[in-house]
Amino acid sequence: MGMITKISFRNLIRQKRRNILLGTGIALSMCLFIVSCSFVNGISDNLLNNVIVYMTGHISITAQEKMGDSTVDIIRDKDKLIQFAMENIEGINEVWEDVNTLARCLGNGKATTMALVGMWEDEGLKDYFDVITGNINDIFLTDERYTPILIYNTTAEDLNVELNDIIKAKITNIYGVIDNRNFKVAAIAKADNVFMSFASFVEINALKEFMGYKEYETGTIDIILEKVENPYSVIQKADLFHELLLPESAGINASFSINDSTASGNLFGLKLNEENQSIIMQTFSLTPEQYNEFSNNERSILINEQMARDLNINSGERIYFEYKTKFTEGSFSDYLIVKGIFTANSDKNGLENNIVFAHEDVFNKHYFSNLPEQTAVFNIEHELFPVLVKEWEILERSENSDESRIKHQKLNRTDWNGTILDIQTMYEFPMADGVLKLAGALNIISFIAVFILFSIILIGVINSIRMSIRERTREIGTNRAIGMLKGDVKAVFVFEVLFLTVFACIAGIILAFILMGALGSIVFDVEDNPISMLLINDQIYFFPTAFSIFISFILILLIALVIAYFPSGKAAKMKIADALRHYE
Amino acid sequence: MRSFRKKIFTTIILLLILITTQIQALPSIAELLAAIDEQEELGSDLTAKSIITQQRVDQGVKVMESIYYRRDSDDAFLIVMTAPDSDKGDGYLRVGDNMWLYLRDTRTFQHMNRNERIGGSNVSAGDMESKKYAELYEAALDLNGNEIITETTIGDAEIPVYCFEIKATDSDVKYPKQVIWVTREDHLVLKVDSYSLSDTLMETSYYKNYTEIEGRYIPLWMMFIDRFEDGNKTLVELTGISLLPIPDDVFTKPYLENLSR
Repeated sequence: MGMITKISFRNLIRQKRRNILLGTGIALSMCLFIVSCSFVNGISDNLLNNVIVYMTGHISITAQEKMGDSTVDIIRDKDKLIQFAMENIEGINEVWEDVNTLARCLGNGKATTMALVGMWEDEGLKDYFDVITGNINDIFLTDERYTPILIYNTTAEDLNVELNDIIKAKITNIYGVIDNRNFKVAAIAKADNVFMSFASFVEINALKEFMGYKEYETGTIDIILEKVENPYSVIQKADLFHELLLPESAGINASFSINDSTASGNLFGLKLNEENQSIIMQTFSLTPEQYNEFSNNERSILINEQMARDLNINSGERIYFEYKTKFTEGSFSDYLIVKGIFTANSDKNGLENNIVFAHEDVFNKHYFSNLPEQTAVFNIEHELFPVLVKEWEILERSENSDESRIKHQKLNRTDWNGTILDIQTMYEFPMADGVLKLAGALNIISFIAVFILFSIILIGVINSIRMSIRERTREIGTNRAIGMLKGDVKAVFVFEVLFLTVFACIAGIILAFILMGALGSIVFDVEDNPISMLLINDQIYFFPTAFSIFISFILILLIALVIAYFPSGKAAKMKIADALRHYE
Repeated sequence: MRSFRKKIFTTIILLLILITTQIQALPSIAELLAAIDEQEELGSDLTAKSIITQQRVDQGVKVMESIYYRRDSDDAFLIVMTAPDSDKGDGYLRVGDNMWLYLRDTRTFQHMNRNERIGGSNVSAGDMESKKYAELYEAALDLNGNEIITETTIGDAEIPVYCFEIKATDSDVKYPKQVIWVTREDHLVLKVDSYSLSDTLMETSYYKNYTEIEGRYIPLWMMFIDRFEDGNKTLVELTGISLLPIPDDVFTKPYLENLSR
């Protein structure tokens, strides 16, 4: 083998001009392939990890709450979900609240629509902005008359405002109510690209109040992971988190009273639909008429026998309940109407003596808007558990933006009440999904283009091998005559092409990095141009990966070896006598 | 002297009677809201052609024409755009809790939620739902606990109206405070000022050219003036109104698709 290698290497040097030309062609193919892959990787990496991740997070938790006809995007107890995420997802870099809304804004004689984004006080976030004028720290100062705002220079032009000018904003809050507020320009920053300049930034609690959120509520929870190169790892973590987010029953530990009698108990909500009717009727021994009476009155409750005796209450009477709320001082109270009394028997029907069941409408209305300080938990194994109102229901995971869209459309067509959670990765948002598809398409296009180019070059390689064989026919005959095997002859030519390709690829890789360095140092003046969102600091961003370089290298090497194999085989099969007689 | 005192006393009595009479003449706001709701409930189907002229400071004037079908019994409606050419054939269909947007170019239906806007206007899908004032609002009270209602006139014709203020009792409203001017005689709404949560005037609506059709009064001319962004306004004019029953198959997707062709 050592001799074969030496012969191959020597033959390579013998045909310098031809091999240098061939090698240059192979090196250029390799260079173009790496540069195009790195360019595409750079676009997707920039958009995904520098733009979109700040809009959606790697993993996001959203919630919709529906009571009657109104649907609100709201997470009522944000700290609970944030804590759960921190405990169960590995590799979290940050978790933050995503609160934003569209606003129609009036400046000095000009108007525009922009996104108001909630910002919290964070040193890293402050470094993100290239402040031209004003002080970013002023965003977090409180002002009774005006709320401070940070805008981009392009927005300042659109609204014809300067530092300390007033911007009037009109929004529709999360409950669909129109509201307006005056903002004072506290800082103006330079927009890196036209895409970013659509947003303006307000202290998050001020924006939450404007939108109708309480301090403990939020819109979306975004989870940022440590730098991610492989989308699959994010999806895996999201899938795992989704499986862990099993809801418990929504229950309230409350006190019930009528006249001077009081009893404490656990209140749960019954989901009333066709599917659950038979379980409810069977568990509580209700006739169809009794069930209808219960379901037709949104203030209905079913109370257990023991409690009915303790409170001396009968069916049809009004009972008051009260409980301490988790986030507000004091307690919440309302009345319900007893529509049925059931026997609680922990041995027979597994129900305890302190349990009360309410119509889902009144339960949902009170529970989600006034979360209880003391919750009650229902046995998950009990047959009644599926028909109870839960802390939340959770949507199935979707694989891409199309599935996500279909999932939500389906949800809109169903009749549901309560709270529904959705766990999504950034790749399910149309923008990120689009970026991945674009990157995939660009990769395919660049691969095809380079492959075509390389195929043209391979014609040269084939021609070169054939010429080499022709020129060295007598040499092959001589080598065969003195004992070289057919396999060895083949190997000489194959190794020759192998060495040529390897050296050319290495040269191509070096050339690619030089070219990327040169192209990446050019500064483009693309202000106000959508292209600017593909650049970083107005420069092209190349992101070569070891994987793509390795794949390119192996691919070109394999193609070259295959090309070299067949003519080499032909050369090896030549008869010794014919080869020795060959005359050029 | 005695006759002078008698005159003063009589005058005071007469004045008291006059004032009491005037106070008693003012209806309660709840009654007015109930009257408005009753007036707006057609109790039958409605077909009309509408011309919407939208003026926006940054976009100029856009005129949209459509055919509008409405069925009060189940709050269903169907709108098909007939102008401009760019929107012609597009439509909106609401049945039950579902609302769809139909795009003629792609021949597809998209499900809309209540907050999505219709035709790029300020009207959202939720606005198209029939709502009763009496269920959503109640009388606003002044510092003395009295309802805020006065008798006044409106316009150059000095039409006698009641002007009263209401506040939302339900969170499912766009404007938590409204001031309404209704005619004293027929309780027809002539003007509405709508205020934001921060008590800023955001929109003024005018209604005129009421036409009586089968005992119902329908305004043929409506103007919505944006008070937040000066210069923006929307004019809605109705023509060809009919209260004849509309076949059930009108409020279906196939009908909308056929109509849009």
